[in-house]
Amino acid sequence: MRVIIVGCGRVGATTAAALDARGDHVTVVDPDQRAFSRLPSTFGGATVRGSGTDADILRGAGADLADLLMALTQGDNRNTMAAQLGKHVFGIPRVIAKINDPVRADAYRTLGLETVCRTVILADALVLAATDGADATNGAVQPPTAEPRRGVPPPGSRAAAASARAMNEAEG
Amino acid sequence: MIFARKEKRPALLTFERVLVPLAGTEADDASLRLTAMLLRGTEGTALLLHVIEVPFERQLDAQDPAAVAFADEVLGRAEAFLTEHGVAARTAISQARAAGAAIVDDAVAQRADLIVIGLRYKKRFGGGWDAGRTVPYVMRNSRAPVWCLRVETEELAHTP
Amino acid sequence: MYVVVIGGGNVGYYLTKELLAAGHEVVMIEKDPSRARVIADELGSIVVPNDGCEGRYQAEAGMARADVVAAVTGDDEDNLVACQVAKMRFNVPRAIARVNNPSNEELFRRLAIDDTVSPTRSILGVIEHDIPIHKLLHLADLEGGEVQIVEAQLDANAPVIGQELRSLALPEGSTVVVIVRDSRAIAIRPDLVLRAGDKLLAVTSAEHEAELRTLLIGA
Repeated sequence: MRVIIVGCGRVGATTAAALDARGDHVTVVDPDQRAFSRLPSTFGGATVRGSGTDADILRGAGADLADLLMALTQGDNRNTMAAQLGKHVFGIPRVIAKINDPVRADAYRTLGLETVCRTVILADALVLAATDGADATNGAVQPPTAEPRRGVPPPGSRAAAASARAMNEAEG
Repeated sequence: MIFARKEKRPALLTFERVLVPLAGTEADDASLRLTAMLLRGTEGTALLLHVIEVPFERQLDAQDPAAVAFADEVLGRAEAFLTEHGVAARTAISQARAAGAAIVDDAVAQRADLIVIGLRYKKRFGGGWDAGRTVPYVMRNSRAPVWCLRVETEELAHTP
Repeated sequence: MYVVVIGGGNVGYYLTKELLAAGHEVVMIEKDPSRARVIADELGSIVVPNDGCEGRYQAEAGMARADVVAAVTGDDEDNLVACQVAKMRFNVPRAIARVNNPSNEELFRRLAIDDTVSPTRSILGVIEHDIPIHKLLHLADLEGGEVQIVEAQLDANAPVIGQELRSLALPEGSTVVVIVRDSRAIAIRPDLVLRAGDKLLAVTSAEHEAELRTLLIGA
């Protein structure tokens, strides 16, 4: 899967590292160069310096071929805009926006955006911690078991479709 | 027996037109009593004002019969009280987005030389004293002097 | 008209003043409390001191009866969200957004924001008009950008030099409206031969602008 992550804060960096470890092709976008130092030294993806609400920057980050865009900055509005840019201008099949306000998250879901509401998730986890202990909330993401494959676009992805098209044109 | 006529000492404070904004709450009680004390036996007049605050959802000149009825009741009772104590009173109703601005404007229009306004005791969540929007606005923007009467409360202001 | 202005910076402030002077009813939503107070002290009790992107503060500002919402903050994402909330929740007939980054205008249009204003593009137009760097100038947008008025300056290399106007293979929806030659507007005649130095004012659609550019000036 080709993934663009907008925002290299703690959440963005952790998510990018986890997806990269699973073998996904990850590009992280952030206007602050220093933010990229949050990525582990083993990170095998790409970084692009710039704002995820700028169409030119997203294009440079490979938005035309991305399968998934996750907008994970600290600003709800910025995340909403980046996600909608991905969906409506670049046709990225899946876009996810982190939105902190539960009311707004609901509203944007009706517009076809997948939203992750930090407030709700955290509240749910805290209730679980209160009843079952904090350990019950850890380890939601499984560590990868298979060797990551790089370079080959997975079947069904846009990159695979694009390279198939290019090959047909070369042969035809 | 000759009774010496006691010289009437000049009053320490004289006011001719005292604007008394009335919210229709228990805070009005003290302002009316103080106004009666100030104006009793003088030529001064009390200007009683009730402001109907209209939210942006409605047009400023929208009619609200319930609000007007409430205003009439508040002003009626206040006027009766002052008349009982021999104080001349006039009443007015105003509609505005914010009571503070309407009060300040009315004081200017009626050339009031004093504003007497009551304040309920309120606290914000977290304990801070809340003076609301209206009284601070009037304090900040009125040309005429402003006397604010904060009501008595069961709560303690400070622990010693 | 009842106009809700979101953003109390310079643009919002002067816009509100102008609208009030023109006799409209205006409410401004500005989230910085001290800025809100300064403006309210001058313009009256017409400021809601809160976040204009939130539905409940838009409701407080009477968005339900607004004819127009103008989101003019300095941040495109805030303007986008404010307009979307206003349209989604309150069905405001017209939503206008200030778009600082001109390359975002397309997104706003696709999300059915009725009108966008890009100060960057406007100033660029003014600069370019005085210093003709580009040979195809954007003069104005109509219908939310769908219809564009452009000016093409024909230099000696322009591919259409020497052709008659009627023989131009203009793209769909495009018309040459005025030709300026030697600083004078001349009548459009089908047999008019185009010369170097001519300025053509044309109307075209957003979709076909690039095609028109290639045809007229070859770039």
